[in-house]
Amino acid sequence: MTPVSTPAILRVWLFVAIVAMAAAGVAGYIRWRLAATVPVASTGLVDPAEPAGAAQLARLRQAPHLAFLSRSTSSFDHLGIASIADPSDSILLAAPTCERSHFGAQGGLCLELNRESMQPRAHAVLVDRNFQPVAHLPLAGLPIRARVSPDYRWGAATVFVTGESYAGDFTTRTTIIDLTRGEAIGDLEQFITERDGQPFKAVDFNFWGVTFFASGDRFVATLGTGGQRFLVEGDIPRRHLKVIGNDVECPSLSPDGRRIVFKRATKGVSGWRLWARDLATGEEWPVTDENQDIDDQAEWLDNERVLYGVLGQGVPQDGMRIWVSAVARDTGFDAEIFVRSASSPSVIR
Amino acid sequence: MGEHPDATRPGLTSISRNVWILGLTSLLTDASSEMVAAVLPLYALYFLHASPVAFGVIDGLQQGGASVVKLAAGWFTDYSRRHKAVAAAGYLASVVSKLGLLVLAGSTGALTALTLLDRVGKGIRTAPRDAMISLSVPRAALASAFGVHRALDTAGAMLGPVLAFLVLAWIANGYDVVFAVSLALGVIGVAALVLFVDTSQLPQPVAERPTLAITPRWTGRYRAVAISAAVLGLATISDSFIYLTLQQRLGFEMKYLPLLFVATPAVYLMLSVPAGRLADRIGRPSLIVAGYVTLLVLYAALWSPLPPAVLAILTVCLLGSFYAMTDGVFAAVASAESSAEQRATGLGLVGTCNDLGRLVSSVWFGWLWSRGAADTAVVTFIPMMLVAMLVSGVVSWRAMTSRPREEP
Repeated sequence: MTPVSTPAILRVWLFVAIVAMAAAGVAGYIRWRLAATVPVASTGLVDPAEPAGAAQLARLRQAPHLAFLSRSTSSFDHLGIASIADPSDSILLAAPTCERSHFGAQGGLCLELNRESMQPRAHAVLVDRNFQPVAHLPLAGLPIRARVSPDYRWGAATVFVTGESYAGDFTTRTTIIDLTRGEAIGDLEQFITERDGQPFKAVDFNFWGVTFFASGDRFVATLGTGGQRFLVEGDIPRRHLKVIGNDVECPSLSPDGRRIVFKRATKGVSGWRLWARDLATGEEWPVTDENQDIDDQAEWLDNERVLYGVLGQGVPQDGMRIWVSAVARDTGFDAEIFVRSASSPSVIR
Repeated sequence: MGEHPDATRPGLTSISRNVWILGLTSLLTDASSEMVAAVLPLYALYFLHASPVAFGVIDGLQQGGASVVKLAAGWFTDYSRRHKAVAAAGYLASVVSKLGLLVLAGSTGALTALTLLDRVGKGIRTAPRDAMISLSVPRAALASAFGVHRALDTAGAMLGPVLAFLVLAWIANGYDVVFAVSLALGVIGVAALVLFVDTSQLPQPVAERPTLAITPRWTGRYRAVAISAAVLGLATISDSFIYLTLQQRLGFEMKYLPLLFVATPAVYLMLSVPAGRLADRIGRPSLIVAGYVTLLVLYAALWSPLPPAVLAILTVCLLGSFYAMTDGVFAAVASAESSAEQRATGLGLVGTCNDLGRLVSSVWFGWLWSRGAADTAVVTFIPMMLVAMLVSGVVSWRAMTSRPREEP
C-alpha cells in the first residue's frame, strides 16, 4: 500500500500520471486495433450483382459447393462460397452477413443481428439462390441455429432468449418458417409433444437443433427439459412431436435419412464430441475424439462424412474452423481442417 | 476495545472525502464491470460460439458469485485490520479479470474462470469497503454516507453499458476494445482507492492480534439486524423474476423492457441520497419498513389487473425506491450495531444473510415459475413478505426493548 505519509501533492500527481497512462494505453490500443482491421472493401469481396462477380459465382456453382460464414476479422460474418473438390478455391460475397446460416440449392436462411445497437435486433432473412434477400422475419432473441429442408419447403431458426434464464439454466426458442410463403408458422413449443404415447408438457421445454428429412414435412430436433436432452421427431402439418431417443443434442440427418450425427457432453470433462446413431437400429458410436471441443450442429458432406465448426486456439475472431471427419464406425478418428476462419457450413449439391 | 473513533467526531470535511473517493472507485469499477457484462452474451455466443449451456453457467456466476466470499473477506479484514489492502485486493482481482479477457479469452473455460474471478473480487471488496465508508463518517451520518456511495455506484453501473455500446457502434466487433476500456477504468478506480483513501480513522493493525476479532461477539440488536436481513431476503423476489413477471403481463409489448433496465437504476440513483439523509433524520428502521412496504405494493401491483403501461411505470418507480430506501440504509444499520473492530465482519455477515435469503427465494420462485404459475408465484410472496416483516419487527422490537447487555 502507498503510505498515507506520502505528500498529498505527490499522490495527486501519481494519480494524474496513472489516468494519463490508462488513457494513452486505450488510445494506443484503439489506434493499433483500427490499423490492424483491414477495411472490408479492400479484401476483394465479390458482388454477384456485377458481371465479374456473377461469373465467379457461376463458375463455383457448376460443381457441388460449400456455403460458409467468414470468421476472418476483415470479413467477419460475410457469406463465402468454396469448391468442395478444392476448398481453397473460394470467394467471399459482399452481402449478406449472417450470424448463423444454412443454404440449400434453391436458397437459404441467414440469421442476422445488428450487434452495434443498444438493443440487438435479430432477423431471419430468407435468401434466394442468388443470395439476394427476399423476406425479413423478426426474431425475439439471439440467433444460434439455422436449418432449411433439402426441398426448401421449411426452415427452422433457433434463438437464445436471455433474461428468461435463472439458476444457470437457459431458454431457447425454435421457430418453423414456411419458406415458400415467407412467414413463420409457429414455435415448436406450440406443437403437441408426446412421450411413450402420453402427452408430454412442461414450462421449461426448450427446442433446438432442428434437421429435416429429404421430404421436408418431417424433422428431428433436440428437446431439453428438466436437465435432460431428448431426441424428438416432428411432423409439421400435424404440428406434432414425439420423443424417440435420449441424451442427443443438435442432431443432423444424413442425406439418405438413415443416420444422424449429434453432439453429446463428454463425461467428466467440459466439452462435447460428435456421435453417430443409426436411426433404424439405435446403434451409437463416437465420430470425433475427445480433444476437439465441438459445439456445432454438424453438416453432412455426403453420406459418409460430416463437416463441423471447431473453435481454434488464439484470437477468437480467426479461430473458428470447419473440420471434416468420416462417420463410419471403427475407422479411427481422422478429422482434418476443411476451411479456415469459417463457420456455419452448408453443402449445396 | 470497542471505542468508536467516529462517535465523537463531528468534523466532516476530511472524513467524508473517503466516501467520495470510495464512491468514485465504485463508479469506475462498476462502469468497468457492467460494460463487460453488457456485451458478454453477444461475445460468448458469436465470438466464442459458446453453447447456451456454457452461457447459462457464466450468467449464473454473474448473478451469484459474489456472496460466497463476502463473509470470509469481512472476517479477514477485521482480523488483519487492513481494510484498504483487502478492498484493493478485491478491486485488483476484477482488474486482472479484465486483463485476462483482453489477453486470453479464447475459450469458454477461460471466460467462465475470468467471470468467476471478477465476481470473487466483488465479494472480497464489498465488506471492507462498506466498513471504511461507515468508519469515515459520524454515526449520525451513516445512512447519508451510504446513500452517496450507492448513488455513485449506480451511476457507474448505468454508465458501463452505454460506454460499451458506444465503443461497439464506433468499432465493429470491437469487443477487445470494450475490454481494454474496461481495464483502463478499473486501473484508475484502484489507483483512486490506493492513493486517496485515508486510513487514519480506521482500526490500525496491531502486533498482537486480539482474540475478539477472531470470534466476533454480537449484541442482541445486531443479531436482530442479521435475522431481519435474512428473512426479508427470503421474501424478496429477484429483479430478473420481477422483470420476467412484468414481461408476461406486457405480453408482446417488449419494446418497454430494455427501458426498465435503465429507468429502475435511474430512480435508485435519484432517490439514494435523499433517502439516506431522510433515514439519518427520522430513523433508519422507518425507512427500511417503508422500503419493504414499497416492495409489497409492487407485488400487489404485479398481481393486479392494471394496464401494462401503468404497471411498467409503477414497477420502475417502486423497485427503484425500494433499493434507495433499503440497500444503503441496511448497511448503515448494520454498521451502527457492530463495533469498529468487527465492522467488516458485521457488514459481511448481514450481506451474506441477505444474499442467502434471496438465493433461496430465487430457487423457490424459479420452482413455482417452472410449474407454470407466474401469477401464483407473485401471490405466494405477498404473505411471505408480511410474515417476514412481522418476524423482523418482533426480533427488532425485542432487541430494542431488552436491557442492553454489557459487552466485555
